[in-house]
Amino acid sequence: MKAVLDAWREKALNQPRTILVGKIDQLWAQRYAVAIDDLNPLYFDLEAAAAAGHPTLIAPPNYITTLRDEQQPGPVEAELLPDGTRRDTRPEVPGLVVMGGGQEITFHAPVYCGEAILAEKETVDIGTREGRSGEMIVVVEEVRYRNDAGERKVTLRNTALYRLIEDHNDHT
Amino acid sequence: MITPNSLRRSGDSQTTISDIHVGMMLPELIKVPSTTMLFRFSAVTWNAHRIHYDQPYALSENHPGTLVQATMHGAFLLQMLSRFIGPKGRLISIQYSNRGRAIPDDTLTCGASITAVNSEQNEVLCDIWERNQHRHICAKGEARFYLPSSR
Repeated sequence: MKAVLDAWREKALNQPRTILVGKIDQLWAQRYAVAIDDLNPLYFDLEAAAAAGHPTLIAPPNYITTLRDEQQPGPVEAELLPDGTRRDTRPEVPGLVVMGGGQEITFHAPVYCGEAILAEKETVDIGTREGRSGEMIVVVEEVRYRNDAGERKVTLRNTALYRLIEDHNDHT
Repeated sequence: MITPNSLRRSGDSQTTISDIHVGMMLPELIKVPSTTMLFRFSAVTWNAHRIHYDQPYALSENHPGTLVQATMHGAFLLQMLSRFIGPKGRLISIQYSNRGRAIPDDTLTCGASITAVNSEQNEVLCDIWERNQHRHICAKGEARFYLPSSR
């Protein structure tokens, strides 16, 4: 585990990069809301949004924080890890699996449908924690979203939890 | 089809800062995520992680079934908060950690308790949580929001 940690820290820590989230598409933002059965009028009804002081429809508050990588058509399936996650997110270690650990989100301004969004993304901490099933690697990423006019929108600190499963069968 | 009637299910009423006091509990939000909900959430967020839609694969990672996405727990908490603060309220921040796993057809209850009110800045702080039908915590944390002075 220590060798994995050292290599991971060397490769990933403190290397901020800009990612292009792109235009917040009204249809997909609304599909996100519908997927979780959250029919807030501010996401669907222009009159309701205007009455609340918004220039147009807003996206659900954590829609943008699910978009933590450059938004592109890919990766193609052949570039995914056996668990379906992106190959560029972690070292390729057999049996290393991941799940979400939590989020800390600061909302500076609403994210409006139609806005073009950029973000600075940075891995800010890679540590360990003892979990119920043994030692876990805890990776914290910070993503600072802004629109193309430079207005701060949302700051996210996302925690991912990794653990090693001995003799894991990928079922591929 | 989404109709004006269906939109009235949330976000209509307006809470003001004078409606609030420390110790007050927010109205609970109950969600029962289905397999379809998990699939559509993964699809719309371009998330191909197999633990959320591939049951044999999820079991191979020692999960009890396909897992509700960590960010879906956050989305439920935010939905509860947004319904309470109304259209003129504003979320300032949320922090939550995922403490327990959930699978399709679990009954998840989101709740919150107000811990501080700043009437000068119209800001409210609250503890937040999400429990399953066995009262086990799936997510917990803290949120801060702004409320207007009048409706």
